[in-house]
Amino acid sequence: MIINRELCIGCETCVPHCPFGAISVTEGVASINEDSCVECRICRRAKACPLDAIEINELHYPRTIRAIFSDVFTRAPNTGVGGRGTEEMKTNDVTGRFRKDRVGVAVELGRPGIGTRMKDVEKIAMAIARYGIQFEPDNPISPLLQDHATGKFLPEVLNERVLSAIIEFEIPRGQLKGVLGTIRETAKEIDTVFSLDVATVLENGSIPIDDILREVNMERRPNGKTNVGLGRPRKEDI
Amino acid sequence: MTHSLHRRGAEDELKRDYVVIAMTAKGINSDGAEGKVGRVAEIMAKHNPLFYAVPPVGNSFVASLEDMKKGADTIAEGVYNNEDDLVELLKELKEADLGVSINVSGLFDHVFECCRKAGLQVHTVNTSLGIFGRTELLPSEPYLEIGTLCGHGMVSFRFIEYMVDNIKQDKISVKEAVRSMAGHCLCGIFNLDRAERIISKLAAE
Repeated sequence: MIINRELCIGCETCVPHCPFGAISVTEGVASINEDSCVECRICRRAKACPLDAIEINELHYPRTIRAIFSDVFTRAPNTGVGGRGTEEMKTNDVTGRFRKDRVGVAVELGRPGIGTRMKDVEKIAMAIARYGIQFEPDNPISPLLQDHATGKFLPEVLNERVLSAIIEFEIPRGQLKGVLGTIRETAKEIDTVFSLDVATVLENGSIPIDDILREVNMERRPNGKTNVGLGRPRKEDI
Repeated sequence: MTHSLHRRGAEDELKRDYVVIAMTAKGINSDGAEGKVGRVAEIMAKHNPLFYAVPPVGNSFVASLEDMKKGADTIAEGVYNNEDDLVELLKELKEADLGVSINVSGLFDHVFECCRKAGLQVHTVNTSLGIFGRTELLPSEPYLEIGTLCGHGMVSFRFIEYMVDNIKQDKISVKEAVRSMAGHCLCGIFNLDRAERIISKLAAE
């Protein structure tokens, strides 16, 4: 993002709109700190400037990944989904991505509200790669992995800052205890926050991971997301 | 991905907060499904959503239902503040049998009961295990509650604080502040009622 200095009158209206405090006004003109800005474009989309002086500039790789992971309306080339997300369990009734006896795990680094450098995303990815997991290919993180087996990222993206990035993978339910323990240990090494979730199909009408969570002293919150099974064609072999 | 499974708050608040997300599956039922997604949005709009949207057309503050139907692509979303509306919505979506995957975020026990009333069998759940890492960087709980009402984190803690200050200084009303915050939520799942209750308390402190 850039400020059109010809239009800006330094009114400071835009300043509080930036989630990362990247906008400041000095000597009567606003400017955007390039390192802090994650290219979420909310300043532009929320019409934070009464004179329309905030503009979207052309990005070049690796900065392009900031928009892919931060801007709701920038679609990742490999997923077609905007807002850094994926279909995850939202279409599981159709895709069968998460099957019986397996669970999906998602680690969303930077959320809520703090943001993340890709080097912290790599730390979590490398820690869980040791379990031989396969990272979700339909996720914008996938093209950034230099080595899917180790979770190592391309070096040029490590310092890029984004609003959030979601590491996603699915594993046998029996591996969940170890993976959650590793994630919790690795959390001590990162410089941001992350939200953690587990997706599973129901078994006999119940959520079948509570015993495992108890073993690792974790607890699921009483609320979450539910796929109500209206998608068609239904994946029959779940 | 909407962050809706990570919404925060006491049970009494979460009982009045249900996010509905419709989505097609890429390469399976997405081709030519734009009309079905538009129809989902139309059904959503009938059942008293607080707010709704068809990305990338826009949310109900900036786009008409007709525009949403015309521009529908793969996703439609909305937020509801009571279970009666949710049940009626689910019943109509079941009856319409559009084949678009439907998800509801909210208290599991309540969502499951709403599904039962609508004659639906829950398929998959996504459970939140909370926040880890440098949690000391996070603001207090009321700010987290409001911030997580936007599925993409577009309502920043900084902006909430700015809105609270403006209310305290009588520059804007609570409703104006809530509308400004909701305007940042491009996907239309920001629960305006909840935000109004929370920000009123913050401004009164």
